[in-house]
Amino acid sequence: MIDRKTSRKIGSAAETVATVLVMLYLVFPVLWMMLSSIKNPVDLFSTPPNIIPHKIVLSNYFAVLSDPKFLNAVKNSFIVAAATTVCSLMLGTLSGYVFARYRFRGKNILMVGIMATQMMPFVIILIPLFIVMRKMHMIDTYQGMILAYMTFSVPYAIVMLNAFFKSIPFDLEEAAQIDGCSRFKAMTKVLLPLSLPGLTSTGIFVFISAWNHYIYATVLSEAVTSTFPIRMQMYMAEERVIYEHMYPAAILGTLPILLIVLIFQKNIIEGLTAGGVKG
Amino acid sequence: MKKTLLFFLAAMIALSAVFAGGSSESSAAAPAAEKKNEITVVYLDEKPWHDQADEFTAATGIKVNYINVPFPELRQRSLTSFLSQDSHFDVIHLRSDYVHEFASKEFLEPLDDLLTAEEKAAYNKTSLDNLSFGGHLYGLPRYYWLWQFNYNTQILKEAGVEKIPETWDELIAITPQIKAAGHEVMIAGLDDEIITYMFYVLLNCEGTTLIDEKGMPVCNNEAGARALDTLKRLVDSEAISKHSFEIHGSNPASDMFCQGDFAFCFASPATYSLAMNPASSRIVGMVETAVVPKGSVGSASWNEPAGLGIPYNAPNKEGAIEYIKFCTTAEQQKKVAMQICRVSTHPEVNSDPEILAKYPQFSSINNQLEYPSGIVNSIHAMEVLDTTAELLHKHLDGTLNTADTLKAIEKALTEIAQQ
Repeated sequence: MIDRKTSRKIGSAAETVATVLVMLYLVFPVLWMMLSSIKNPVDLFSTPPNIIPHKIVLSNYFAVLSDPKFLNAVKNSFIVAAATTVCSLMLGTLSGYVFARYRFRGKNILMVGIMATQMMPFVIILIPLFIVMRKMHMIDTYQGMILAYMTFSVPYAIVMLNAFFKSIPFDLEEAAQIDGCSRFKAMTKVLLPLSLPGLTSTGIFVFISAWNHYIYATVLSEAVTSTFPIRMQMYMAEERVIYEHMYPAAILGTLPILLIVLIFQKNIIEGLTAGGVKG
Repeated sequence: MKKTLLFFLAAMIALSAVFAGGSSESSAAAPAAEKKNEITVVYLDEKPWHDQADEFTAATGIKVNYINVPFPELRQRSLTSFLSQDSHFDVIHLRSDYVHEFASKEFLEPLDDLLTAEEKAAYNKTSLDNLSFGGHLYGLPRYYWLWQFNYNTQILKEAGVEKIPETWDELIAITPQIKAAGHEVMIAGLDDEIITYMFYVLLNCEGTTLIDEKGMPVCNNEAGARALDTLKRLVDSEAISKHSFEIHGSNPASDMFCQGDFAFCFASPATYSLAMNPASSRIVGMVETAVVPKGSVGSASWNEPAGLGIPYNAPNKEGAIEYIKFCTTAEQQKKVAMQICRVSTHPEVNSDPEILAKYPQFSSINNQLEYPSGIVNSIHAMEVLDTTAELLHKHLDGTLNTADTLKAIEKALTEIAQQ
């Protein structure tokens, strides 16, 4: 018969082992990518596979960093993702506030309609979007890309921010209005500061989504606004996949996202767990 | 409240203008491209093609707006612009199966009236036929993507194999020798629908093919049975390595061949160059090429003829045809062959001494091109490949025998052709 203390120790050890295994499963592909980025191309297909490279090769990183097309793609992705985030948060904040605080006819149907857009595959509106952008001469422009990305990021922001705003009692804004604030001022001075975790987490997810978005970029970007995912696809050449450039490019292209998540991780976690505990 | 909302709206518009300000040159290019001295070309982001576009501009004064597209997206990009009925592309990449797919839907401009008889005569007839549909020419050939039979001289020496197999039966016969020496025999990326490519080659080796010009199956006969039996024997004897079914296409097959574990590799022409590069190969100096092993009738290979075509709604068709003619001459094809080892559609280029000095593997190419080579040309190409592959796998795992497999293929491909 195992006593309680031993049982707890066994349970704790099992938890740790399970956590490590799950983390390995999740992290191993990224780890493999990092290790492969510093290998010679000939070592990438070794049998049996070499996990640890025999020789560390950094020339591929230099090759990628000195490629102006790669740097341009990262710049374009940053511009489009940042602008999409700003615009989506602005529209999402205003719309989310209206849905959270106002009652009007058709509100529920409208919200269902907005949520329904999140369930559609992107490819459904690809051709109509292309036609519209072409008619407006917005192919290969930042405006066109941003507007296209907002078709999926604004509904997401509305849904998320609506939920965050609902979790904050209206009493606080009411008190501010009693003290002389207008509705708008109460929103900006009281509600938004309290919603900062929600705004941050929504903003970051919109940014990541826009940064990684591929399908609209394939038809809406050409020479000037080619983004990072398109650049990554360029490494799949006709003759072979240029793995030795693809891996370093993937690592470098992920760094901006990693940095943003590291800086704002506290806000992200707060935003994700907001409303989880009633207080 | 109203004023504040208006302020917000103005701020958003201003922000959009600020963020978007940097790329107005491209939006201006769209109407500009409709002028007669500009064309828009869609193709890969590789230096030789860019150089070619620059040379064309220097020679003719026609500006080329070059749009880089990743290789896996070439077909999709063209298709999206066709389906939207609004394209600013003047020149697009074509493969022989794309010609069937696009021309059947009238997405391509026929080139018959845009070329003189003399201009057409400058091209190899087979290469023109590959880019024709319904009796009309829709593209001019730019290069061949011809699979070659590469072999590792070191492994064959270790295994005591003195003669390169000239038939598939000879390859099966030397398999035990090579395996006894501790090596695998042949690698070819045959995962998913690519197994149909191998079957297609074997059918051609037996003097038949998979489907006719109308898409109707023609393989349910003695020759088809021989091809299917050969495929099964190649797989059962492990002459085709089981690793072939873990990889998709010739590119990973080339990568694996360069590790030095396989005696043979049936893959794209880039394999040899990859194998001779110390950064990507452990078998530098140990690779040669030969004609693909023969069946009862002769040899055959898989070949994806690539060319250039004009969309039906191209803004500048006159400029486009000039570009296509310029890029597909023997001289231009030789330049490209020298730079990136593309097999030319002009036989004299493939046997040019300069080419042979740089790429010795070209010595077997003109021999190979004397035998049938091509791909499955059908407006339902993907469906044909996938359906046939499914049935081939059932035959290889023993679910269906030869006769039943061929009957099933015939039935399935007939249904597809009659869609």
